Amino acid sequence: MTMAIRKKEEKILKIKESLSKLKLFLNDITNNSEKRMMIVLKNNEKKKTLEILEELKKM
Amino acid sequence: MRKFENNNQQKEKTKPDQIETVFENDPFSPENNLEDIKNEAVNRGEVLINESFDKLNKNFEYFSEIIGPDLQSHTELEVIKSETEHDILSQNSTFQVEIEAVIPKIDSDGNILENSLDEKQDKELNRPELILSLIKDAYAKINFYEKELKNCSNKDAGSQELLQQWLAENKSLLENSETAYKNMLGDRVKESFQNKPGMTPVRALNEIIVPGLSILEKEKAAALPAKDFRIFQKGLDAINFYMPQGKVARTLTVAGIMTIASLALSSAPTVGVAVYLGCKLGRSLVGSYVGEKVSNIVEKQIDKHAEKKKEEDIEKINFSHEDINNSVNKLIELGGKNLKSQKNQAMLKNFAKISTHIAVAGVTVSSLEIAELGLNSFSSGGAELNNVAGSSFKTLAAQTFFACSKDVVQDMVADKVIDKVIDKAATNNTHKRIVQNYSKLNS
Repeated sequence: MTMAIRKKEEKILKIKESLSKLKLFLNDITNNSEKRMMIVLKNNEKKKTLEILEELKKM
Repeated sequence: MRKFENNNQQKEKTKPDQIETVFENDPFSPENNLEDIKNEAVNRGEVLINESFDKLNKNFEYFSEIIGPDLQSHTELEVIKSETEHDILSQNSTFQVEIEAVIPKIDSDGNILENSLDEKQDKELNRPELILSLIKDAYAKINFYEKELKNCSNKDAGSQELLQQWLAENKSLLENSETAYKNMLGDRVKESFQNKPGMTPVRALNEIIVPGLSILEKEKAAALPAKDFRIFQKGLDAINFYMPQGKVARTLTVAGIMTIASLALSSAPTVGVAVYLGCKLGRSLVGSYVGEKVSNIVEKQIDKHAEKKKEEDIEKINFSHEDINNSVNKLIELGGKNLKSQKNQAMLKNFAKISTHIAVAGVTVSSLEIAELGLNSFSSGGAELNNVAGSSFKTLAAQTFFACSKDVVQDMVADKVIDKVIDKAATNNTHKRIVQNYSKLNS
């Protein structure tokens, strides 16, 4: 294998690594974002429940 | 991208790690033109980015709909969406930088430009940028999650557990990235000793380590809200501007500045904890080349507080004013003894600055108590060092204080502190002149 081909393969490998890394990080980012939104939802539901309880107490 | 659409259909049947090698017309084959490979990579990157945005938008719409009219929850969702968008774009930029660094640029005749991908460029340009972007990202997330956790005391255990998990992951990422960055600075120092004739440890410190560490801290500070960043920036500028010449003074200065940073950023609930954090941070920042003696001095201070830490959570510690005063003065006294033995004017200057910065921090956070603490340190330090430095020390300290405080003077606290400093400073003609100049500045 010539030096030029080896260098080219190294570059291609680096590009593949960058792409894999991008995919991995993006997955991580969107999953984390989804989990955070779920926390907001849970808190929101809790708040709603408390409000209903308050209403019930008043009744 | 259009060129390889058919291949994408086959992808589903193939194991992910085999994708690039099993295709007959593999777009990443070495037989292909590098420019085509680059375009293909960029296109695939774009697809991934677009998919992420799609997923984010769908999630946002879905949760918005379920949540109903609650304004607070909507605001929280908006914040998450905006932060995620920022993260996605940031990953995209990192990816673009990586690709540009790997694939050589082509000139107008189609020739590959030399050195586009040489290792030196990769090291000098790409690596630090990538590490710094990871550090900044992790630091911003740590700050965010810590704040969320503080507000999370009444929330369910599941949320706390998740937040703690993310916090731990990001702390570990931050630690690893910082180590990688510091190792990289170490590599540069080694290289400079090999390649630059006349390189000395002091030059390496001033030309490589200090600017490198400053960039690191700036990146972290830039991840903070604007007001905090401004205050932090002031501390960093002070470190650079007043760069001490000795290890003792350097450690004390950094510890002092970090104390102020902790105070100003409100990461410390009491002055005592700020001193503790300052010592700890100061030591970790300069620990690699600090003298054993100074290291021990700082260590003692850390141990002193660490004992209390064992008794209860550090954030709950409420040091008495006497504790704090003793702690700071002890640090200064011990540092002073070292300074005295070396009789180094540059170190004395820095010693003065630590006290004045503490006083200024008090003004900045509108706490007369903290400001007075700085002044007390200033006085006791002055007494400790008076025989060595004489009135020049006091003059310098007063000048520094005025120079710093004129930027942050905000309210009655500042006025009271300044009155006290003027009382202390106005003992001879030089001091009177400073006071007069200062009065002119503020009139």
